[in-house]
Amino acid sequence: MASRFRMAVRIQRFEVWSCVLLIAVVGITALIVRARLDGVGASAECLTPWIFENVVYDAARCDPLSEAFFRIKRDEAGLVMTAMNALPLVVGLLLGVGLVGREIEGGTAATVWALAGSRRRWLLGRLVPILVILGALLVFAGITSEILAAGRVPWQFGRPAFDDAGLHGPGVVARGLAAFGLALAVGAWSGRMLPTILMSALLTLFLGIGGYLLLNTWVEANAHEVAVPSWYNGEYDGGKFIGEFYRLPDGSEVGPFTDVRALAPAGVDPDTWVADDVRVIAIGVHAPDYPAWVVTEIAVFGAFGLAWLAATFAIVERRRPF
Amino acid sequence: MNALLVRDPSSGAIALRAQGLTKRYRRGRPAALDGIDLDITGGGITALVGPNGAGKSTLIRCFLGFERPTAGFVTVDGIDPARDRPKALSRIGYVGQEVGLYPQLTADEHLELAGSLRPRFDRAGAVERLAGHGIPRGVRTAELSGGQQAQVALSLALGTRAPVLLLDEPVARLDPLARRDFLTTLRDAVRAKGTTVLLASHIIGDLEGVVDSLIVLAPAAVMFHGSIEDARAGHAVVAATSEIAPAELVASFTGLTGRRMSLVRRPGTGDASLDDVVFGYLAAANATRAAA
Repeated sequence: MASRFRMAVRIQRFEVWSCVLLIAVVGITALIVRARLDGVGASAECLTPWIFENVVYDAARCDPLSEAFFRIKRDEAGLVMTAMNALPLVVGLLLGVGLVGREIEGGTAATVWALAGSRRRWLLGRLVPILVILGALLVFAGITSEILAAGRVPWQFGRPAFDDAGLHGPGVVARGLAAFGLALAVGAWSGRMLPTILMSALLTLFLGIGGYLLLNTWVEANAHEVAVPSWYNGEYDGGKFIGEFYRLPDGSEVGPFTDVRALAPAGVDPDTWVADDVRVIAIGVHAPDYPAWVVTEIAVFGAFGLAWLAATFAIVERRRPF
Repeated sequence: MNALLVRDPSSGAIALRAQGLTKRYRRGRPAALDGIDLDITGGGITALVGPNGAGKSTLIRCFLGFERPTAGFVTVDGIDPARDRPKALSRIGYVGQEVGLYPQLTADEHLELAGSLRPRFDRAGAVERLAGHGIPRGVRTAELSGGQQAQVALSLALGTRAPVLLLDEPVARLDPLARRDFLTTLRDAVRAKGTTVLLASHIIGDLEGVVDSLIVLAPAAVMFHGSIEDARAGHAVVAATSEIAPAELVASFTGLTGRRMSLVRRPGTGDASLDDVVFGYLAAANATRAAA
């Protein structure tokens, strides 16, 4: 088994080391940026004073801290999270494309398939070590991106939830596995590297877009009424909102752009009426819904990846080795 | 069935069999193999000779289970690879046209890989064989010469201890010295063990002294199958103008000297070279095709 593991890594040495390097650079950068965010020393009370009661905002102390924090959040953490859009897909693609495709193109498939007898056994022997490596790399990327994502929203007390959904935590692993399965199957089917790379890259792009569509669809399907505090400014608990309205004291609802003050009953101070009796209601999902999304995300991308893996076994079993 | 002359070279167990084997890659296109019947008995080296497109590789790939016959079947030691490919492959060692080595791996790593894929792989024997040819085991195969790469590939095939070796033009790209080394290694290794070898080749001159029997495969059909003795002693080359009984004539062809000659079947009296026999049967195939 150790020998098979070693050989599988040796055969895909270039891809394995490229992926290790990519993940290490992005993952370690994420940890460094997180340390820089923490190093600013800006407390949640400084960054989002409006969500706390009885907090007196100390502008002289907080303004420079807030400015430094949001600059790092935007420029550095933003860059890492942007990279996380592509990283799991690229890593999955890199490791998947050549595993079978290059064997066929390079003429080694005929040798090893003749030696192995059972192609299923051969594929398992090649697949398991690479899957272990891919899994370890993706888990590292998922954890480091989760750490960074939590550091970007200290006012959410370590719950990045739907902020940058899909770019941190288990979603990273699921997306990488899906891209891997896809590239693996395309490589086995085409048996040529260049067409496989082009086709897999295109399909992986669709996979990335599909991730966003899936999230939006899921949010719409699971959206519910979420009460938000009057200070709500769009980001406060890691939720994802798709609509807002005002609920008046009589239970009627008016749109978010309505001048609610104009609806105040006669003889009542509009500002007092709005503050005391009108509730801002959001439609969407909030942080406690996040685990359900993660389960869905893992199930959908995992099933997608597994389906392609299964397809690869069927393709390898039937196709010519040249 | 398409068999102008098919002879079983000797008695004994059938190692490789093709029955009514037809392989057509695309509907409406000529068949790569057309109703081939062939029995190769166990032990000895059989050369599979024929021009490009004759179906040599297709035949070998059918035995390997890499191609599924359109009609008919093949067996390896009685096992049909279309039904049980792993079991059939467990009896086969294979070297292809491309040596099929990983350029980034060393010869040693190839042996390790083969050992992980074939439980009974004879690593010690393979190491000894490589050492005998002075092939460095710690060097990436990309850095080895073509002849050395072919020797590594042959060592992998021999190391399987398989009773059947299928070699698909493994020497086509080698220089004469490397070809001779490859073929003598093969001959010495398999004769002692009684291995059955089917060796596809273009290069007829190299085969004398190495192979025991000959199959001439013209496009899609077996034209001759017999022992080397039968091939040489059973045929004669005569001037095309001489008197030849129709039953004797295989074919007339133009020799290298420009003279018109005929290959005739004259058991016990002939003394044809392997080249003559092959040319004669291929000329017969061409004549048959032209007539059709």
